[in-house]
Formats: sequence, C-alpha cells, structure tokens
Amino acid sequence: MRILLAVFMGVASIFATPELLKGQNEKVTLSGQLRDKETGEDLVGATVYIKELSIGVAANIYGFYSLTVPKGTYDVTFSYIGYVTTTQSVELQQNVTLNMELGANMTQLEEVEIVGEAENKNVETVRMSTVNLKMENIKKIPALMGEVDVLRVVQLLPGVQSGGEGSTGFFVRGGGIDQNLILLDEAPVYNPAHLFGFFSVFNQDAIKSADLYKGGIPARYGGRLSSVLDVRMNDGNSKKLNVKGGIGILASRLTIEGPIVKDKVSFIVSGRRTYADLFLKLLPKDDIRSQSKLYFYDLNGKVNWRINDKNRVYVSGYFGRDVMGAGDQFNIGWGNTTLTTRWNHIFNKKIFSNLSFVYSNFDYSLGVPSGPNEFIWKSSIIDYSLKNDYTYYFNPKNTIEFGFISTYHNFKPAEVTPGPENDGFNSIKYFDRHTWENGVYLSNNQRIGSRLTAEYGLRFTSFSNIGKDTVYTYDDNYDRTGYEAYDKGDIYNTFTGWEPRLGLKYSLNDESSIKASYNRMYQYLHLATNSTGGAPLDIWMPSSKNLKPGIADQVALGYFRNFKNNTFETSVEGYYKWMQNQVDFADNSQILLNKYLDGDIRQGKGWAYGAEFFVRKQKGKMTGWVSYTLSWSYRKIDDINGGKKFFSPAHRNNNLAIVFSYALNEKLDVSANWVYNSGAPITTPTGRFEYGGQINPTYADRNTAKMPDYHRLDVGLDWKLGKNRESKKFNHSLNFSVYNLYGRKNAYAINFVEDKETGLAVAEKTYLFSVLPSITWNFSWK
Amino acid sequence: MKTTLYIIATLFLFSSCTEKIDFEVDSEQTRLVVEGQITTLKMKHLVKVTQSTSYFYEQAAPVVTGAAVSITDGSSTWVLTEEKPGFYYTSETAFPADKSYTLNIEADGQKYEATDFLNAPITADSVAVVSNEEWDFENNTKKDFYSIHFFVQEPAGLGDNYLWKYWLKRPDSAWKDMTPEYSEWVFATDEYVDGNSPEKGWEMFSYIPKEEMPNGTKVRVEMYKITTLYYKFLYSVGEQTQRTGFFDGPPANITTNLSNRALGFFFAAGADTISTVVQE
Repeated sequence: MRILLAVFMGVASIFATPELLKGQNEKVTLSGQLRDKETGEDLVGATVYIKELSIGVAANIYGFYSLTVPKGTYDVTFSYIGYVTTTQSVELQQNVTLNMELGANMTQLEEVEIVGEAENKNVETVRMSTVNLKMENIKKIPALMGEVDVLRVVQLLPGVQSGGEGSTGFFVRGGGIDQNLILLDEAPVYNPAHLFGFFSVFNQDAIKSADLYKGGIPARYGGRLSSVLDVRMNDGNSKKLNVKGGIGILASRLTIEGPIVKDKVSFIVSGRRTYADLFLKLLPKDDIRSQSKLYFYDLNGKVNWRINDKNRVYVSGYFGRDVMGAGDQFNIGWGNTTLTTRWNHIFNKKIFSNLSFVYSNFDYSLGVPSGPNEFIWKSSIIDYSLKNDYTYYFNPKNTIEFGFISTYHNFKPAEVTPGPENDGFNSIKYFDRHTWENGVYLSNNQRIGSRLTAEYGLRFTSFSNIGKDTVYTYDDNYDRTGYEAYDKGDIYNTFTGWEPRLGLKYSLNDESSIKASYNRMYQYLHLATNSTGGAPLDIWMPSSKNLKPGIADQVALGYFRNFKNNTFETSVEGYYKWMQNQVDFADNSQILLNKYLDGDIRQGKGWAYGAEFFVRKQKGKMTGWVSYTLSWSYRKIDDINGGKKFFSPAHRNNNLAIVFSYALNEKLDVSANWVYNSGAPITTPTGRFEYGGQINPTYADRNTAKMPDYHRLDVGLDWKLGKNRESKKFNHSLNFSVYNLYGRKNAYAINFVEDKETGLAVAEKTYLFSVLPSITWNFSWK
Repeated sequence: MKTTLYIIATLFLFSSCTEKIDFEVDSEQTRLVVEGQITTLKMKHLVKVTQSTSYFYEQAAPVVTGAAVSITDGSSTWVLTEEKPGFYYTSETAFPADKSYTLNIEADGQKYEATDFLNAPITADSVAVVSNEEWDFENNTKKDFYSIHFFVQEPAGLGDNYLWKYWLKRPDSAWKDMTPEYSEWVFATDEYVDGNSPEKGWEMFSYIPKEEMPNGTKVRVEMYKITTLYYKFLYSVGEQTQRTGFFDGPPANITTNLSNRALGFFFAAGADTISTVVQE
C-alpha cells in the first residue's frame, strides 16, 4: 500500500512541478479530442499515427489522445473503423492541441482499402479477451421482438454463455451470473433485466458502445471476478437537433438530442415504453387480464458541456422501472436508477483526469395492494461512489494509469409491512447493511522494443462492514450459536486484497501477434437467487464475517492474426480460471425472507477452462462473425453434492454463434444469426417415493445430466424507405425480424412432475418462444 | 408467497408452454419409505411402510410387508399390527404429550429408526366458514368461494410450527378427508405471525367451490403442533415438488428423520380438533 502511494505521489508530483517537464524540452505534445463530424460524439479508440516515427496512440473513452514526440513536422494520420481516414501535416515546434473531426465513411459498401494503424488494432493492442461492440453493428443483428439489445449480442461472443432462453443473464468463462460488472456510464447496474430478463435496460438509441473484458482485465476495473461490461451512453449531438425513434410491436422509443450551445453543450433524452398492457385493457372487464399491469419504461438523459479544451463536464442518468400486477391480487415492481456526474480535466496536455461521482440504486417491491392480505415488501441496494482516474501519457512508449474508487454500499435486504386489515402478520425488517469498498490502482502500458508491449499493474482493494449491525454466529455445523451486535459507525470487519494484472503482446509481424495475460480479481458482493431466469427478487449479500470474498485468478494465452489486409480478424484464445470462495446454498435453503441466510451459505472452489475461436469481418458488404467456444466449468464445495466436484451452472461444453449481415443494395440489408450450445447441466431424479399422496423425487449427484442442446436461427431484413437518404432531413426504415425461424422448442427448464390425470411421473419441458416474428418502424429527423 | 410467485409466473409467461418429453434418468437401489404419525388424539395411528422405486415406475409404490414396527417413549412400547399389507396400526391410543417418541422398524434384516418430539397441543377458539368473492383463475372471472377461517391465539415466543388439515361431512354422506394430499395441507412457522390472533381469524383453506359445501355440511379442522424438524421436511417437500420452473432452487434431497438411508418422515404432534356447520 505504501509503495503504491509513493508511486502515486511521485506521479502526481510530476505535473505539480513544471521544472521536471522542462528537462524534456526537446519534446512536444500533440493532444486533443477525436469526434464525429456529424454528431460531435467522441470516437472512442480512434487512432492517431505518425508514420515517420512509427508511433501511435488510441483515443481514450472520452475521445482524448496525447502523443509526445521530438520537435518536427509530421504527417499525422487519424483513423477509425467506418470513418474516412484523414492525414494532416502538423508542425510541432511547441505543444499543439488538435481536435479532429472525422466523417463517417459513406462508401463503406465497397471494400475500401484503408491504410492505417487502426485496422489491425486487434492484433496490435496488448489487450486480449476483449471485444468492442458498437451500436451500429449491434443494430444489424436480428432482435427479439425487434428490441435491439446489447446484452443479447454479448451472449453471441466467444467465452460468453447465455443464462438461458430469454435471459439477459450471462456467464463469462465459466463464472457466475453475478460475476459480471455491468457499468452504464460508470454506474454499476445491479439488475439489467426488464420483463424477467427478456429485455435489458439498455435502450438502443441511448447507447453508443460497449466493451466486454473477459480476461486480462485492466487494473482500473475491479469488483467482479469474471468480466466487465462497460456500456457507454451517447453524449448527444453537439452539431444539430436530431430526433429519432421507433415503433415496434413491443415498445416505442423516442430520442431527442442536440446542441444547447453549438459544439459546447449538448444533451440527449431517450425514452422507451412497452405497451403489452394496453392491449390487455381491451379484454372484457371481467377477465383478470384486463386488470393486469405489465409494462416497463426507461429514461436515459445526458448533458455534456465542453467548457474549454481542458475541462469538460457530463451529467448522465438512467431511470427505468418494471410494473406488473393483476387487479387487487398482487403488485410487483422493480427498477434501477443511476446518476453519473463527471469532470474531465487535462493537465499539461499529457495527463488526462476524470473525477466521477456515481449513484446507483436497484430496488424492488411486491405485495398485495389492498384487502385482508394487504402487504408490501421492499428491498434495495444503494451505492454512492467517488472515483478519480488519471491517464498520464508519459512518452510514446509509456502510458500510465492510476486512480482510486471509494464506494459506500447500503443494502436494505427486506422490509415487509402488512396492511391494516392484515392483522395476522407482523412487520419484518432486516438490518440495513453498510459497507465501504475501496480500490486504488496503478498500471503502465509499456512498449519494449518494436515488437513487445507489456501492460502491468496492481490494484489494492479493501472492503469494510460498518455498524450498526447484528451478525449471527454459527458453529462448524452451521448451527446458530448467538449473535454479535455492533454500534453505529463501528468498522467491525475488513477484508483487503492485492490484485496484480499483467498483459503481454509480442508482434510476429504486422498481421499477427501472440498475447498472454494474468489477472487476479476480488469480489466482495454476492448474489443470492433462487431464480433460473432473470427474476427481480435478487438479494445482494456483502462479504462479512460469515461470507468470504470471492477471488479469481485467470491466465489466458492467445494468437491473433488478420487476413486480407485486415478484412478478417481472427483469434484463438485459451484460458484457465481458478475461483475461490464460490457461493452456494445448503440443500432446501430458503433464500427469500430468511434472517439466517448466511448460515445456509456454503463456500468452495470453482475452476473453468476452455478455448475460444473467433473470426470477425467488420468491413465491406458482408459483415459478421463466427465464434466457437469449447469449455468446462466445475465447482467443489464441502456439504454440496457430498463434497464431490460437479458442473457449475455456467457449464456448456460447446457453443457456436454465427452472426451475419449483408447489404444487398443501398436500401436493403439482410441479416441472420444461428446459435448452438450444449444443454445446461441439470440434476435428474434417480428415484422416487410416495409421501403425502404424491410422488417425491430422490437425487444422487448434482448436475450429472444435461438439457437438450439449444439451437436457434434468427433472421432480419432492414428496408430503408424513401429516396437518396443521405441528403434528406427525414429518413425512415422498416425492420422485419423473425426470432427462432424454424420454431425449435428449446427447453427453458426440464421438470420432473406427476401427471395429474394419469398419476404417472413424467419429464416435462417448459419452452418460451416458438417462431416470433416482429416488425419495427424506425425514423430519424435532423 | 410461493403461490404469488406462481401466479406471476403463470400470468406473465403467456407465451410459455410445456410439453412432455422422453428423458432418460439413472436409477438407484430401492430404499425403505415411511409415512407415519402419532398424535394426542385417541385413535388408531398409522405407519405406512413402502419402498422407493425408479422415477418413472408406472405403479403405486410397493408395500413392505411383514415388518416389525413399534414405537417407544423410552419406558413404554407400543407394537403396531399390519392390518393390510404395508399399513401398520397402533391400537386405539392417545399418545401423551411433552415426550420424545422413537419409531423402530425391522424389515428384511435391516433396522431403521426415527425420533420426533410430541408437543402439547394448542387449543383452538373457533372455526368459521366465510363466503367471499375471489378470482376464479381457471374460468377467468370473479366468483363466490368459501374459505375456512380458524381462530386461535398464537402463543408469544418464536419456534412454534403448525400443520392443518380438514374434513367435511355433507348432510347425505360420511366424513371425508379433504386434504389427503400434500398439496392441500397448510403448514406454517410462527416467524412472521408470532403472538397474533387476527380479528377475522386465520384464512386457512380458500377457493372452496360453494357446491362442495352445501348448507348443513359439517366442517372439522385439525391443528397439529409439529416440530421444527417436521416443518423443515414439509418445506423441503414443497421446494422439490411444487416447482414452477422460474423461481426454484437447485434440486436437493428432501430431508428425513429416518436412519439407515430410509426416506419419508415419522412425526409426532399435539392435535386439537374444532368443528362448525355451514349455514348461509
């Protein structure tokens, strides 16, 4: 810790003392922002390259770049996939700020040859096990009910397994569903599901792009064992007012964005609402469905103010809710709220800093709204974070990142209040849990010679439980022995963890490289859920005296190779992940409303390994990818399955996804995707006995059987209406899609039940969707 | 709670369907199964002894005949007699409360035992049949149903567990057990209701079609004060058999209090009976 602080202070003092910089007076810095010419949006990851020096840099997530070079006059090339590459001669006798706006490449239907470093970025970067998804590519993939969804597309990537049919939950490299850190403009999203997981909280019109990190996770991220999904919202068009939206069979969307002060202040507001419930209202009044409530809505908003070249402020927020109910029978609602306030500041053109304040709230409530059974049950988790990140473009060979995050988590596990007529039931309130999570990190991305790049870093994290709290104590047999009470503000338990991160890249030539990585991750929050799907009744449990933090170590090795002038990107990666303190529950545990749930927790180890094959084509008329994953994931926990190893719920042996889209002409795009994966592991009965006049199952080992294999074909057609779309103010298109074209009844669950009519035991599969066609009309006006 | 979740799952998943499929499962050796109970009521108490089978076995569970079955409280022993194959009865006895009882079975050269504590019963105040309008989920409309409300003061202090069953005697027929199957039983722990005596009673059995209880029908409710161990068994039976496919925990073996890998449960409970007559 002290060493880290010393380095931290050392780095900080460099920009505090200008004398130090004078020593480098032979060198000057070229820096600035890279943006889209039409919208003013930041071009994240766009590259700046100086051919004479064979050095380059990629813009960070705020579009900022900085390159320090010897004085001179250079041809500087700015490039970004899907944009026209621009080369400009720049005379660098002193520090220069150059903000560059790139225009989208309108002739992208032809296989244009672009010579620029950006094109082999996947080979050149030290990062592995990382996939960047841009919204415009996500939109090309056929969508369930026409709702374009980033989380569904993530499930088509190598190393990612779907949590199940119609689920936004996903498993990354054999890790649990709760081991993915999902960020929306830096704010953690605790439950990204709408409608029990059929849709995600990410509205296509509000989202710019997403990065998924499965391994070699940079030191600036922490808090989950298996992956980071960093989703970013659009900043809002800073050039002109733009209205876009869509009307689909499930939901309608409307987005308004534009400048408040041109090129300086922009905003975006994006809303979405479903209307299945409006149709239900048309049913006869005495039909219970006519009194049903069943909808969700989303609201995204962002304001972005470029104060000057050195300062920029953003405020972005998300608010979404699901509402469901049936007359006076019951109500259920849940939702996320996030708010992110950010301040970007550039010191000396070489140090980029971002200071964020982040708020996130996930809550749910359910109950009976009135009558003798009236009750309301509420639960929530609230986070407040302060985060400060620095990128120091020390020289073209070294880019240093450092920073910290401090988060206060407030858990309100359950509060149940019965209504006035419901006098049989007592109100229930479980203790709030207060915890404080901290992380501080330092990393350096260093080029060593012309072929080798290393990114090495260290993250130190701590997690403290704070009173007021009551912690139950248990003996070795998990029998409760008593409790310990702690006063308000008493920091009664602290965990700490060192998390080293390492990435290495060795270039074999311009088109191929070998990469290796290692990361250690700590996770202090655990999800307790009974649900196989995306039920909202999640209970997030903080690490505590009875629940140890999860730890994962992962190594990965990969070969990256591009073909045909970087038209085809290919990669092969292998990984092995060791996980400690994985959470499971004792047999027949009661997850909901259980005061002593921590006594039902069983922790043990997990391990996962596999190989991933990926071919992607991002240029030309035909785009898409093929991903294949061969993987295994196990757990071994005392008291579970007799202490023997078993397949983890994340285990799927084979997983293949083919994603394809083709521009037939300027108006028509066709697309298709086919997914195949081995069935999820399940436990099947090995016998039965009669008790209570019914059939009851007995089981031997856990997860030894598997569900039938899953496969599905989706197709889509996008038809641009009207003529000559580029010059027009108003553009619109129709999107047709068919989910599960050949109507395979993929099993959602297999249940072993007694047939009520015959009294015989049967196996029964539940499936959700057969063929599901949809149509969406999209428009934009500018 | 589980019912609410089930309703949500069914209502919402308008597009979900089920289909029978062929699924091969492994089999294990058969095991002894016990379903037995003793109470403070004076009657012949039954211990049923059967065998487990493979999961897709197409007949009723095979019975275990010729077993030696007895119950002891440590000093006295009650020997049960097999009145029909697999059904072992005590003589007409009321078991004294506040004691542990152990069931001993010897069958095919193997010995099995199970122990449960017999709690003193709690006395019920009254029972009432109430008519109310409820949603008829099957026919999608509102309809009048009967529900049976049970009046009792739940004693203060946590750790009490209960099981309720009911019988009907229509004017023209004999007493009939309306709760022969697990899915009709009502059981509860006092964790959320401790010390209460609701004004309108505890709504115990609901959604009873009015035609099932014509005027003059006698209603008898039995309340058993069971042990936490038996409550946990009943809870685990529900966890493993009332699966919705959406909110289920992992499959696990149902608990038992029998030794030697036997299945099922032998429970002891203080029981109280209370009756009323349907009058509209």
